[in-house]
Amino acid sequence: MINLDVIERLWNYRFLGREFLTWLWFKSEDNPEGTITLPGQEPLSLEVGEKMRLEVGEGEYFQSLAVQGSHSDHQEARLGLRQGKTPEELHLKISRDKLEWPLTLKATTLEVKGLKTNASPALAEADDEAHFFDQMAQIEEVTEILDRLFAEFLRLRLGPEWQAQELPRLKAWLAAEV
Amino acid sequence: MGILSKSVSFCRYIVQGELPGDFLSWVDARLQKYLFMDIDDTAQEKSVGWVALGNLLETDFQQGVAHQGEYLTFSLRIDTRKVPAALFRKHYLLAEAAQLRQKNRVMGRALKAALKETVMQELLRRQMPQPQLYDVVWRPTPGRLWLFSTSPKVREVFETLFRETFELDLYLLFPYTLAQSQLTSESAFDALELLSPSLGTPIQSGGQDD
Repeated sequence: MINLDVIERLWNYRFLGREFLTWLWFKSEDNPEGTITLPGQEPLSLEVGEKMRLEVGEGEYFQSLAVQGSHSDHQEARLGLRQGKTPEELHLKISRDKLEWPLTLKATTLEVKGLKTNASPALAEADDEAHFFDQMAQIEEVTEILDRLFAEFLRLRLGPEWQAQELPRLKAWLAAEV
Repeated sequence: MGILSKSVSFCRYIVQGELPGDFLSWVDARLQKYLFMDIDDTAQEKSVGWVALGNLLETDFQQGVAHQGEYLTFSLRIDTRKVPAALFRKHYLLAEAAQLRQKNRVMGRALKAALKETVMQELLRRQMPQPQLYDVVWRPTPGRLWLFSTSPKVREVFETLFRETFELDLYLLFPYTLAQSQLTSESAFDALELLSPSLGTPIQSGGQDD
């Protein structure tokens, strides 16, 4: 099923991860509530957090822009996006029902860093086994959400809707002054 | 930071391949075969192997310690001896000076290389190995695995040991492989192969650039 030339694929499809992160950012601001409803799922809320790293070019033309700060500082990052940089790491806050998960998502490897779970401190203290299952339930929920978001992005990205509707809307969002 | 930490970091894998009928006891036996071997009393530079989840010292997998509900859990332990460069330099110079006094002539390239190796081995033997632990959670159905590390070096060690231990196919989930695992039609696979970037070029401010 999967091509074994992993390193080449990892490198060649970095753009797909970075476009996914850009799309997540766009979707987080696409409607006033910042909510996304995936097919057959409860609505979830996406918020771009305070840290991100944008990159462009390779070798001697490589440039990186690290941004850290509140929402007003996103202006610098938006300017970077307009200049052709794309996000390699994005700090996100995903919320569903009453649960909230801050995390950093890396574009090239889809690694999740610094995911803060909503584990009960009492449970964590008292029972390792129950704490393990609580942690895994949340980690599975978050990874399932990320997979579903990626699937929706992929559906749009590989279909005619991308060029006809989604990309023009995304570019208009990028070009708009904050 | 392991699975039980307040803040967790991980990468994910797909595990594929035929699983034996007596899967759980097979897993225990394979883990037992590739368990972590202590190198404290040796001069060995590095040792890698499996231990019980989050437990540096527990290497007995025979009582089903790796089974947690629908998950299999264990940790990758990597012990490494390191000799700081400045320490090596000092001891090499001392050894070189001793050789010069003894033989009263300048050493050739081959002798210097042999002396470096001897000094390094001696210093390695005197350094205590540093243990590192990385949690692994494997859900055999539907073949998903979480490695609680985002270091490429740890990933490489893990992938090699996992493949050797279980002789199963292991694929890192990244945009291309995740896409492949989600696509179902031939035309979508073709579209993925032909895909090229649609972002990453400058966009005009204040208007639509399409």
